[in-house]
Amino acid sequence: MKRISYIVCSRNDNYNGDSVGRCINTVNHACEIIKKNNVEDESEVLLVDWCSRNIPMKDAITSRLVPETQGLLKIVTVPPDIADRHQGDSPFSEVHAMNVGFRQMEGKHFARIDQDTLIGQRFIDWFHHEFEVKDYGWPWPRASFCSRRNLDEPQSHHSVFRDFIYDQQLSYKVEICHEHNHYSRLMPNKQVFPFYGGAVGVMMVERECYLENKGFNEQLVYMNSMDTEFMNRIAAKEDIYNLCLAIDADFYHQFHGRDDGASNDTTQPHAQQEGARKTNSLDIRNKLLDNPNPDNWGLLDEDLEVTAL
Amino acid sequence: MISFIKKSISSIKNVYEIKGMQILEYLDREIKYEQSLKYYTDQNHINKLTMEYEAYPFSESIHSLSSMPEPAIEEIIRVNKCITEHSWGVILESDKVSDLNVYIAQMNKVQINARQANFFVVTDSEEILLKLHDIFNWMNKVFYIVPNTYNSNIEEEYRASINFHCLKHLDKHISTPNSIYMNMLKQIGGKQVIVPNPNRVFCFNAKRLVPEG
Repeated sequence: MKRISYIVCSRNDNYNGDSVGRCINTVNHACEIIKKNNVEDESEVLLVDWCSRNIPMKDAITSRLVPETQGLLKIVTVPPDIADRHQGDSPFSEVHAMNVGFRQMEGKHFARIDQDTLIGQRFIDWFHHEFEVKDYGWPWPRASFCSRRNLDEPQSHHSVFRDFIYDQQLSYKVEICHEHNHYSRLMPNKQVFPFYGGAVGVMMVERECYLENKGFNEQLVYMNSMDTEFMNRIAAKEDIYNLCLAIDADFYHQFHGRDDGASNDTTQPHAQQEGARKTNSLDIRNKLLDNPNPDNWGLLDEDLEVTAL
Repeated sequence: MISFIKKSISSIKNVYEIKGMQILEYLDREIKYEQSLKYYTDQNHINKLTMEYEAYPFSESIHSLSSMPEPAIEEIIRVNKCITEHSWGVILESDKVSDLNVYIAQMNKVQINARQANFFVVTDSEEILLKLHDIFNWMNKVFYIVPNTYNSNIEEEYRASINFHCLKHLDKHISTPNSIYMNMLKQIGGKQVIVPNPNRVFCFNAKRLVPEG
């Protein structure tokens, strides 16, 4: 069994400008850093193409993939007729897409990264040389969360972003996103920003833990807060790992504009910007929910095409 | 004479301009603080320590209270005014701090379990003090790191003793391994000193963060 499956969910559109270009960077870089560290036997990258309405991702991006993706990357295609049966009026149900990724993965650990987010070297070092490798006499938590850093526009350029990832001094110069969450900051009203409440760098859940909790809640088909809701359910029962501080936010979000934002989500720094994307109710962060997923969650009964490169 | 009057008026105008700007900056900060309670608002960073926060070297030689001059004793009393029953001492010898996040995680654990907690930080590193002060505050307005300096005229030789006597008043501490003051506190007895395990400290029992059903 592989140790880690990086799950990336995307589709062929131009969400907030050239989302496909960012996704290609993410997938290429993931495979490059895996091969650079000689950990391909332990890793895989799964791209879930959720509801591409014109050309599916497997056809649209293949020519732009680097050779390192060979043998590492799999693309799961969920066509619009299937996706639409599950996602209701949401344009992109991330929870379904991520659960599909889980169902199709081979790894022991589900590692969700955004389709525009790049993996850092400190994470690779921690995962492959520390996590579950070293025995300190206590069980490693089954769920971890890491916040991320936001590359600005010049830092995101494909000619330089690797410098900000591999050069450890430059890496720390990239701004931390949602830093209240990164530091679990205490507010004057005595509420705490939990370390797993901000934008995701990586959310890592061990296979059995994911199964026991029935994955992401498939009622939360809109944007945002689904990670926090899932982590809340896990944290109510067991210890979780603050990977944000352990590796100091070693994931890197590629810059993009936000012309289709989520203006009703007050947890986001860009809440006051324009945008009309529906978001999940903020209440789901503030209540512990039961996950109502049916047994066939993750589109278990659907016949999906998986393309191995 | 006219030149003198012109200069005076110009100077008064400048003072009002500066005051006006200061008032506007103050109001901007207040608005940002109010917003931060409703929306996610980026932190107002602290980039420089104010004069109430200073790093001082550690010392193995501690003056007894009776041998200290009055201003030093007054300083201990002033610092103690910001210390509550929920305050923790944080002792960080900079040469033993290889990863400050280890201590930040431990301080997070304290605050998650006791929301009234604040910290009295004793360190010989200005950089560490600045970083902790920047992280453990809300919008540069509500501070969780207790000020340690009120009178900057106190002789340097008493600073280590002032810090240690303040630490003595606290029951719970976080420390770098085998720190000078940790050992001294242990000799006093009745003090809890946590030396965070750099691996284990990132495991969180986060039940106190989870909302109720």
